[in-house]
Order: sequence, then C-alpha cells, then structure tokens
Amino acid sequence: MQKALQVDVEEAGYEFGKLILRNVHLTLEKGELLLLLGPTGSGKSTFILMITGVLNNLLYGYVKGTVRLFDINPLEPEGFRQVPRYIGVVLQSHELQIAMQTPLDEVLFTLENLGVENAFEKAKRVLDKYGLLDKAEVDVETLSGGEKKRLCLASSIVHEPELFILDEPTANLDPWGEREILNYVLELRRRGKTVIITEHKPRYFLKIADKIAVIENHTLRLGLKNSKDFIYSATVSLKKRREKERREIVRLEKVKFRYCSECSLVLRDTSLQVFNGENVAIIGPNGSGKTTLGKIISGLLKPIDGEVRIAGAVPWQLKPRELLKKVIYIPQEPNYFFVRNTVEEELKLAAEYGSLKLEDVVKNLESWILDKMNESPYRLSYGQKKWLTYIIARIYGSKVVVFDEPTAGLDFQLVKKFFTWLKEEGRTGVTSILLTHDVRVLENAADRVFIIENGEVKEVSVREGIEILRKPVEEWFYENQS
Amino acid sequence: MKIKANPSILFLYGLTLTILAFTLRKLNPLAFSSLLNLSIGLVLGFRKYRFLIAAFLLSLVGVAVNALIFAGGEPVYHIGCLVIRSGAITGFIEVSLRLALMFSATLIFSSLTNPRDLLRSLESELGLPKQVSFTVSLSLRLLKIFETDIREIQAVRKSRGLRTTPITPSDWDSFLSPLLSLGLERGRWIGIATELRGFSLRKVKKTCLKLGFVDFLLLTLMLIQVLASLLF
Repeated sequence: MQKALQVDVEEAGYEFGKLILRNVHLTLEKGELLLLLGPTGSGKSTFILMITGVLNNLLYGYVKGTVRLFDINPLEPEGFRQVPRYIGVVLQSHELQIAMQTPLDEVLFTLENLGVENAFEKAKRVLDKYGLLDKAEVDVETLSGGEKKRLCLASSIVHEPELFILDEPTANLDPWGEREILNYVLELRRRGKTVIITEHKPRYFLKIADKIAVIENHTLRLGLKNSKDFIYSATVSLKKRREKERREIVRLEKVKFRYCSECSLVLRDTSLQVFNGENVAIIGPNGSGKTTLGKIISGLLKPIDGEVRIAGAVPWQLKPRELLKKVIYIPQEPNYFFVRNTVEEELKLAAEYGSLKLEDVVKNLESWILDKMNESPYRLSYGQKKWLTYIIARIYGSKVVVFDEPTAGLDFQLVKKFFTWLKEEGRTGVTSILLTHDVRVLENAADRVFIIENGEVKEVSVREGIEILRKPVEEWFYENQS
Repeated sequence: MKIKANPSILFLYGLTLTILAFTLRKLNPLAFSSLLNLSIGLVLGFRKYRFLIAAFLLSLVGVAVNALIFAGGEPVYHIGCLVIRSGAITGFIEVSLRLALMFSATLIFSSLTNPRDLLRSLESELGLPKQVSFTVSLSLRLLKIFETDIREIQAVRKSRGLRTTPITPSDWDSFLSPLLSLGLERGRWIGIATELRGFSLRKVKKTCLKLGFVDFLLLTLMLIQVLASLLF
C-alpha cells in the first residue's frame, strides 16, 4: 500500500530552544483516517503546520527530521510549493481562512491558483454538492457558521486532493452541521482519500478512525490507552431544580427583535424567566438567534418591542459599570474580550471592578496562567484564551454570566473543569446562561433548557434537549453502521 | 442597476486621488477634488459603508482638537476660555479636505469592485506582482470584517463596564489592541490558508485592459483633477 504520510521528527517548534513537538513517528497509509487528539495547546495544530511544511517554510520555525507526503518532501521549498496539489486543509478557525467575498469566488480561487481547467463549472458543481449554490454570489459574511464551514470544505476539496486535513471540523457547529461533516468525511473515506482529523469531541470519529494518535507532553503516541481520557460525556444525572430561595433574575416578556427595519424578525414574542443560581442552556441550530438572545439578556442589544429585566433593572438603561454588576457577556471569540496588554493587567482590571485584591485572585489560579502573567493574552492558545475569559468573568462577580458556545475549543479537562465551576457558581447564586449546541453541557450542567426555532423560544425538559441534540448524529451512526 | 468599473482603472483612480491628497498645496484644487469625489463616494457607498463614514467623521473630531491645541496665528474667536486661532481654522479645513479625498477614494474603490475581479485585473491587466494584487484585493474583504470586529469589541467593552467609544489614550489602546491582534491573527491564517491553496503556483496570464463607459468617465475625471491641480 502506498504511504500517504511518513513522519520521523526528533524536534519541531516555532523557535529554537522552545520545542513544541519531539520524537514524532507516524506512518499513514493511503486511504486511512487518523484521529489526532490532545489537550488544548498540546501541539495538534503545530503538527498539521509541520507536516504541510508551513512551520519551517512560512513561519520561520524549525523541524529536525524528515517528513514525506506522498512522493514529496514538504520541508524543502520546492516540495512545499507542491503541497497544495496533494492536500486540502480546513483550519480550526475556519472563518479566518476565507479570502474572497463570495462563495463562488472562494472556490474559484483554489482552482485558478492550481490552473484547473473548466474552473467555473467545477466550482458551481462543488457548491451545489455542499448546498451553497443558491448562495454562490452572496457576501460570505451573511453565511451562518455551518455554511462557512461547508464553504471551507468545498474550497479545500474542489481540486480533488489525496489528503484532507480537518482541524476541529465540528467546533461551533450544531448537531445538524456535525452530521453533515460526518457525511462528508465518510464520503471521502469511501473514495479512498486519506484523512487527518483533530478533535476535542472525538466520539463522533472514534468509530470510523483507522488510527488514533494522542499528542501530550510534546510527544505523539499512537493508540488510545484510555478513551475516557478524551471523551467527556458523564452519565446523565438530571438534577432537580433548586426550589429554595428562588428569586427571579432574568425576565423577558414578549420580546421582538430584528437587526434593521427591512430585516425579518430574529426573535418574535420571546418570553422566558430565569432564577438565581440556575444554569440555563439555550439551544438551537446555527443562525437561529441564540447569540442575539444572549446579547439582549446582556443588555447589549435593545429589542424593538417587549420587556426585559435583569435583576429588576432594564439593562440598556444602566451605565456600563452598573450593567456589569448585574450581567456579563462572554463572546464565542475570546479575542474580542481582552482590553489590556498582559494577562496580569487583565486580571488586575477585573479585580478592581470586582472589589478584589489581585493577590487573592492569583492564589487560586492554575500554574499555566501564573507562568504567562506577563504575556499578552492574545498569545495564549485558543482554549487558554477562552479559559482566561471565564476567570475574568468570575472575578467581576456579575449576577448573571452569559456564555456564547462555552465549550467550543476546550479540551476534555477544561470542559470537565468548566462544569464543576458552573456548579460551584450556581451554589453561590450566580446564574449562567449557556448558548450552546454541545450536548455535554446539557448532560452535565444544565438545570433548564430553552430551544429557539424560527424565532420562537420554548422551554423543553433537559432530557428532551439532550435528545434533540443527540438525534441527528445518532441517526447518522444508525444509518451508516456498516 | 449595479455600476461596475474595471478594477485596474479604479485602482489607478484611487492611487491618483491619494497622491493628490498628499501633494496638493493650494486649497482651491484640493477643495474641488475633495468635494467632487466625496459626493460620488457618498452616493455609491453610503448604504454599504456607514461605519467608514462614521470613522471619517470621528477622525474629523480628532483633527479639530489637534488644530485647536497646536495651531498658531491670530486669535479669531473667543468661546469662553477657548481661543480659536486663524491657523486652527485653515489647518482644520486643509487636513479635513485631504482626509476627505483619501476617504472618498476608498469609498469609490470599495463600492465599484470585488476582491476576485480586483485580483485578476491587477495581476493580468496592470501586471502588478500577484502578492501585491492579492494584498490589495484582500483589503476589500477585510473592510467588512473590520466592521464586524468593531461592533463586537464595542459590545464586549460595554459588557466589561468600559466606554464603547474610545476617548482617552488608554481607551484607544484597549480598543485598538484586540482589533490589531485579530487583524494580525487573521492575516497570519489567511496567509497560511492561501499558500496551502496553491497561491504560489498561481500563473498569471497577461490580458489587455477592457474599458467601458464608467472607466472612460473615471479616466476623464482623473484627467480633469490632475489638470486642475497643475493649472490652479
């Protein structure tokens, strides 16, 4: 069988003396699917950049050893130039990789670069296959998260490469989007393509992977000694709601919202009531309006009609500092959250507002944060950035915390920690609103669940919510058992 | 009706306006070019680029404050303890007109083309290196993203108890840091993704410029403005 990838690397990193990977030995045969796991910041993305030659050819990093990708050496400049003919890559932050303004242009860009003939027809065919033909000429910024992911897949697949690399393909996707990704991956396998997938939610891919590798402590080891180490899905323990000292903390009454006078309604007659100390999950497909609802609760958007009360106050009538005491919004993208140049300054600012001393805050921090106190928050890994935003929110001490996709990009250990943290906060009376499509949040942390569909919000039981989120992928597994 | 111009002509037009904005010394031709192009730019891009217009207006406030503090000349007006000197008025007008000319070049340029047409036109019709052409075309896409980033940053600032519109230097620092950081990260990943999609293999076929009515109109306008700057 022809080898798709052969890696024998002693050391690799972004600069000499600061190695990220060592003793990496891996062989991947043509047509195999490799599932790559590992904690946040362990070096999974670096591995991808290394095998594609980006690390040493574009990022001035170093690789000691050899990498063979089919019949080329991607570490050599000439081999690196040929890499695009063999691979298709969808990066973790897929939104950051879209270079053109419309889906058609984006797909055509790959084909024109590689000098493929009949590019226009091919681009249209691929867009049709990925359900984007009717949106071929629209601005990419109007696409939903799932559609953008599909577009990235389409533009990386259109030239029919032999190897596909998908860096966290299901991150930020709803279960229907996850199901689509699974379909596409299965189709690639059926066509004999080689696939490398990195994931924090590996249970979707465990059943279809030929090889599983874990990157931990800078080293890649093959096989999965203990799958529980990487799959966080505790047994469902549906909790009874705390009936004692229930105080209303969030109330929405017949709220209507739209972004502009010509736009259609995102939310119509939305009513909900949340009590102190509750962990409330709000679920719904990508683009259903979860973030909009979260921003209304956080006082960042004003509805066109209806009533909103946060701890008894109308949020948009409050001054920013008063609003912060009542509610804080944690965006999906952590980069938006930071306002200071070092981690220490970030914590200091939060401590000032939260009437705490920095020393008291520092006492309970994880060692990796203490090591990076003088670094810019923007230099942390994605998962670390997200975790830092949660710490900052905790220091502020707001009564309600609105989390947008809180588990996306977090490894299993941080997810576990996050759930424990939510329970602790709940006991102290802090209310958490979790805008999510991660079933693990419902299984492990949610007291109540609301679902948004077609602009309407309704409460469902936690069990129903779990079923709604599990169904698309479970059905997929059932249909594709063979 | 969607007006479209040849991206290369647009690029030349925008470049000419920018050069004029820096080089024109006399106020009359500067005012003529600025007001003419500002009118065209606002007609074409008012709906699509409101945030750019807001940013331009905000920059005028900065120009006014700067002129009030640093300009010399005879006192012209006294408003309470505030003394407005003659230099402040002329300085404000001159700098505002220069900014308006550059701003209108951006509005016209962004409103009449799209990144892919621009990339193809600059590399094959004007013969610019593909790296330069790609960078210029990418900037068009980034304008929209920039708007989204600003909105999100403002929302988070409000949520963190900070002013949504930056006023003090510290505000500006904390406002621009995430914007720059996101910009750098985006640049890095777009660069990587572009290389992995074969940008270095891209072959450019040279083609002749194809001009339409709008292009001839732009060239005529360009000529008039260059002549005006030389004659007056």
